Amino acid sequence: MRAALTAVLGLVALAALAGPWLAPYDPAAQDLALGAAGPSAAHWLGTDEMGRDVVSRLLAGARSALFWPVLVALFTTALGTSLGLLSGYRRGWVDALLMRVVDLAIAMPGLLVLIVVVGVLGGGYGWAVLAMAVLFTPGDIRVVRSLTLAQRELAYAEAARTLGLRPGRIMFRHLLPNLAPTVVANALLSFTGALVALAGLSFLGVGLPAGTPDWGLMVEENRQLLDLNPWASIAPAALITVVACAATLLGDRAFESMSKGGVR
Amino acid sequence: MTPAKTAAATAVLLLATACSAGGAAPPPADTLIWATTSAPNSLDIAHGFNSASTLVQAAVLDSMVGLDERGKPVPRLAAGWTQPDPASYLFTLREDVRFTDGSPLTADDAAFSLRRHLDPAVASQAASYFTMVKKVEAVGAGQVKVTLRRPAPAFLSVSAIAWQVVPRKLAEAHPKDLGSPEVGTLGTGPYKVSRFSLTSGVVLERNEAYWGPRPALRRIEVKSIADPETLRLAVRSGEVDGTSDLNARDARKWTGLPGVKTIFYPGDNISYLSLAVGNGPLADVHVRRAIAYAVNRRAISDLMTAGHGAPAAALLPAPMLTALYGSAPPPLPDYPYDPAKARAELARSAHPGGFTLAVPYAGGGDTGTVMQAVAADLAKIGITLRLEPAPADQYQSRMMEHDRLGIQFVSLAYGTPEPIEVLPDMISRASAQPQGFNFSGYGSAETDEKLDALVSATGEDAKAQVTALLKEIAEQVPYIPLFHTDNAVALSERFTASLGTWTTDMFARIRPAGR
Repeated sequence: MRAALTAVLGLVALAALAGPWLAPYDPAAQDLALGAAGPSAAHWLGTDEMGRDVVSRLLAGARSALFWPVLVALFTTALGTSLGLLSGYRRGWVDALLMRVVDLAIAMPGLLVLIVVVGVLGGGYGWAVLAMAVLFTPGDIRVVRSLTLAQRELAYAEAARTLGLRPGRIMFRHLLPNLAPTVVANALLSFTGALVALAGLSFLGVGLPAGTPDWGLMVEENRQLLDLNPWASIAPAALITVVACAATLLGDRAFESMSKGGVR
Repeated sequence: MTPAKTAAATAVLLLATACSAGGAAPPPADTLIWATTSAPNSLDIAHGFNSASTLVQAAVLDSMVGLDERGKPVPRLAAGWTQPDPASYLFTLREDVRFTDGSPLTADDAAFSLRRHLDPAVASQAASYFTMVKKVEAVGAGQVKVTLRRPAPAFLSVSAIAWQVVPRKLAEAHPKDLGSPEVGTLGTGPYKVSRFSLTSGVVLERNEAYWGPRPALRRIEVKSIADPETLRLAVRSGEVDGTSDLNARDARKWTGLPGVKTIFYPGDNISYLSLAVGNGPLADVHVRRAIAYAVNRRAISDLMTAGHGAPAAALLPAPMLTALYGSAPPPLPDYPYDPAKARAELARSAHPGGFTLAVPYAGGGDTGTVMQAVAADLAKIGITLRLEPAPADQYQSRMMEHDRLGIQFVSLAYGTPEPIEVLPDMISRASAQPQGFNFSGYGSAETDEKLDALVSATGEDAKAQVTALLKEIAEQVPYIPLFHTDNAVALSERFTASLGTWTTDMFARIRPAGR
């Protein structure tokens, strides 16, 4: 099972890296005279309304499908884990302050905030990604904090403190490895959440610019073509679903495997 | 099964049968259920000058003047009119016309209904239609005299759209909220408002005391269905009898729906690219001409109209050109699709190697599709458009504020065959201000003088002046006309309709089939 999941993500990663070379056509090349057409020998999944090859656009879209969610996952994992460790280990006013900020952030409607950010900042996609990363971080902080609260009371942490190790060393060298299964699973969940949320943003027409090969955007742009070439919309939607499911299940498997191994 | 269980089962069965029979009962033949993609927001044109609202207004409120099938002004509430001099009109009211509350229509009501559009306190959305009006007064019991600042032949045509008559007493009491769901409105039209809600829509009932031909429909329900596909399914299932909010581009999905007919007719509209002449490279006329050569208008027209429209040759809606020139429009500078000529024009500009331009656009609609096609065409000559999507409302708001104008895709619909309804929008300096439609910023004192002269011109003189302005626009290229689209209506086969470009009272033109 894990091999299959890894294979799915590996294929998408390969497409992200080598998509431009694998694509049979330039994903941006338009042929308005051809327009939307169903699958054929020349175009395996047909073409969209602008006469662009769907397969080529799916391959090119793998890059944004992976790149931005990976960026979000890395950011939220790094920041969320650091602040979660700090909050849980130090407790006191640091913990109280961070938790109130987390409460506030979690109470905000994420998608609406993203739409406002994109709108106010003039459609800058990078800003939307940054805002999403910031919005996802509080969840990670809360999870890591709760685990840290438990770990810091265990004997090995007590021993480290007795030996006079600095708090930073205790948190990152001793506690963090024991939180790794959850952190890894959380990172993959952040990836999945970002993949779906960014696709949603594109679907609403406030994500990437029109014409960009992006799976969410393809679903939106081509949903009016279901009668002419359903693959133009269904294929990117299916890929979003498959990759999201694969990442979530892989995170689940990674958690189980790492927990059994006993990092401590 | 025990007798008690049998009785219970029978009761449930009977109840279910009764419910399903009730739900499936077809509406009466003279009840029309209509859908719009946006809800009417006001039954007063002063505050609801949009397609959904004017559709209902035209059924409830009569205008002083109507338009015939060729777009010529014809009597309506006014039984006739004379022109004591070229800059004034004397309208004689039809007799025995009453509002739906039974009160008689007076000349004072008619005069006030026009005068209120000029009142800044009303802040009428139709004010720009009547800038030529100097004075409106009731003359005796049955006449209204309108004095214009100067002769304006288009006055009658715009009156057919926007001079809707309401009782003075009601309008005076509600300058800002007449037509709102709370206040409502009163008219002399073929229908009266039975219910109006911003959420649940509008219900109209036949005005049995209507002065004109008896309306064929007894009841009309107007509801709002925002999503085009949901709207199509509602029409297909029979939940809705008709709509005029279908996109010509999606016509293929509508034609052939069982029990539904689609009606297409030329629309008084034009879609074009606006080039902000004050914005960086676009200030160079050679750049603008290069863009005009580079854009494949035929391909974009085919893409956006799917055969229910045509490429635009000049910056006027096709029906206006036909009304003015018949079948022989004048030759104008043209820019057929030719990348080689586009590169040659660009080479003559201050940006021979091309440039990059940020282009905001409304995400999730036709604008994005057109701008993708335009960007691909311009990329071939070295002009890179960096498309920046924005939420549609925000984009519209910024565009109307004339904020960050560059290359804009614009579609506008009009209501009369008068070029004077369009040209000031496009090239007057007044319209180049925020809230105006001159998104190119093109215009000068000289242009304004030409527009002033056109307002008063008639016959061949008007034709020559329009031609001169169209030629100037084609030479200077502040705009690139793209295409005209047909108007489209989907209607249940339970009804028939006689619709045309100049139809303003759509519901009055629909009747149950066979009647």
